[in-house]
Amino acid sequence: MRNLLNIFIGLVFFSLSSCKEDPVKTVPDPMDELKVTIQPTFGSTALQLDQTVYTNEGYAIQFTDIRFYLTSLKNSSGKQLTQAALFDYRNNGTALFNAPGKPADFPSLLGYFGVDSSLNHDDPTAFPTTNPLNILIANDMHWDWNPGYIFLKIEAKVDTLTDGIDNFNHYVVFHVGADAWLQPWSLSGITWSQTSQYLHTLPLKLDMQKFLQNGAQTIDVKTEHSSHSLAGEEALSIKVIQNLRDALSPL
Amino acid sequence: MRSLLVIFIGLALFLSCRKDNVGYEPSPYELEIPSHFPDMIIPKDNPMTVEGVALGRKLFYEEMLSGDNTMSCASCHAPVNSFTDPNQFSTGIDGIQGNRNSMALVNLGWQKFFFWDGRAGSLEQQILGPVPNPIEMHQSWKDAVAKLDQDVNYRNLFYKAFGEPGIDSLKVTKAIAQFIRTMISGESKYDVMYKFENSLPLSSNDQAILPTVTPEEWAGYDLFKSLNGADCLHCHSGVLMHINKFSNNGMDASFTDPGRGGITGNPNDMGRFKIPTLRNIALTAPYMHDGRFANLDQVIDHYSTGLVSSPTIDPLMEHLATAGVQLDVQERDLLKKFLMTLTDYNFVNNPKFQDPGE
Repeated sequence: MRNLLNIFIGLVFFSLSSCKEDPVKTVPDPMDELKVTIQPTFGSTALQLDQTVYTNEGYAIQFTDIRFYLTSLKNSSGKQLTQAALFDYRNNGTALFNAPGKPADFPSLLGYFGVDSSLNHDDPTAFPTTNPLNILIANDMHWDWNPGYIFLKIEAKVDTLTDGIDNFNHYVVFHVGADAWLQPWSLSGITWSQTSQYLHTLPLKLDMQKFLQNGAQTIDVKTEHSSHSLAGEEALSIKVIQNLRDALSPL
Repeated sequence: MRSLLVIFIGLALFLSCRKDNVGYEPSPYELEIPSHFPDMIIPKDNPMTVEGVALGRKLFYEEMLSGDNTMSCASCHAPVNSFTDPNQFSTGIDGIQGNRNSMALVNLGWQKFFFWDGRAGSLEQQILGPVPNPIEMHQSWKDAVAKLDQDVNYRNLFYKAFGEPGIDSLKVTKAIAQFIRTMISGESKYDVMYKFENSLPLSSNDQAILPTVTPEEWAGYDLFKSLNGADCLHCHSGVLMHINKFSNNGMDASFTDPGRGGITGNPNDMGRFKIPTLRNIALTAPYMHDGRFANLDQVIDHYSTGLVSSPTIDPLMEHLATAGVQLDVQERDLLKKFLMTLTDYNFVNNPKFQDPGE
């Protein structure tokens, strides 16, 4: 009788444990990842949105929006790191993108400042919802499909009167897009910094002082304060996108 | 003894292999997303189910959610008014009025923040607000849940929707959020214009509608998009007809309602409000966060000649120097004709969105 009882208890214990499903192992294998960040600066000083800084002309300026696209980022052999990245300082801070990749594969990066014309006229609703080109992420960085994406948005409030009284009632709105203004962008000799076992980071800076004063290519926000890439705005549009591209460099 | 042992072993084996949540087999709900819309991102902790949507629809019209059993979500978001309130301000169960106009419920599944000041970061979080609000439904969630729990039908519906006994505020909000995510509007005349303009495939129904788009409506659309016309596109574009942003659109020189600034405390946000969609705009009067404009003519007048400067005005109000875009009478009429194309009667009259009754 005691043997039977022991067998019974053993069988019950066995049966209670035998049909439990093993927990599914969902931890993926570690993957090398590359991360790019951008710190806006004004000269050598970190820049915050809505912060007052002064142009070379002495105007007080507060940047309120800094956004732009980099697309088709590849190495010199054509291996793609990411299809598209959107820098959005207001909403995403200094983050540009994270993508799977090994630092040794990307000693250089080539791509476009703006949206590659092969992507620019695609349906913005059709990109995956995690892609920066999807309309849910692009948000107002897109003109109703054609002509396509807005490559960059720089908006600011300016006080052009150097009278010591704050009066930021002069607005700067640069919205540049259209295939004609797409700019090639490249970076070579990249030094990726290892920030954890599988993560390497490339910190960049965006010097907004250089954006306004790019050598001889100066933007005087008192007289050059609006562009939507329309006819008649060509000279300012190209200057804006080239200056912003040139303002981007390793930190 | 041996036969008894066999029975015990069989019972033990049966118990050991039983699944949890017997009877919980929800059916996935397939959203009817128009072909020209982006995918909708569904929260992982609130997947769409047929049972959840059905429960949410019933709860949307449930007056027990209010303190005196007279008010439901639909009281301020009525289908006939494109799920908004035709009054400037909604009146709660205690006869108290709020100070903001009820927002229309349309295509909310694609929005990122809710309420005019964006204080809710999800639909579920937004739905938590009106029940305990003393100037709205004025009832604690505890009391609301207790009322629902008295109803055996609700107990079963919640069980079917969530696979476990019990009702709580989180489940109520999740179910209503599921229902609201089904409220998709994408069958207006504008949708046909949008698809045609962008060379998207037109259904046979679209092809029948396309010839009915008048030259005036096309001209109004051109004005709508033109930077030197009505200049509406900065804030209202694409299939959703809005952007995710807060803006001060030049209505006041100083602010009695801080808007977004009341949430963030940031002086740069004072007087900024969520940009609403223009879908079904002809059905959602009155307009603006405080419902100050009774009709579309007044809205067009504002953007045409009524802009007022203030420290936080949106830099994109680029015609501020002339107080607006200066549309003449004919242009105003064309613009209004285009705005009427945004009406989607299939949405408003969709039987799936009406009161399910008992």
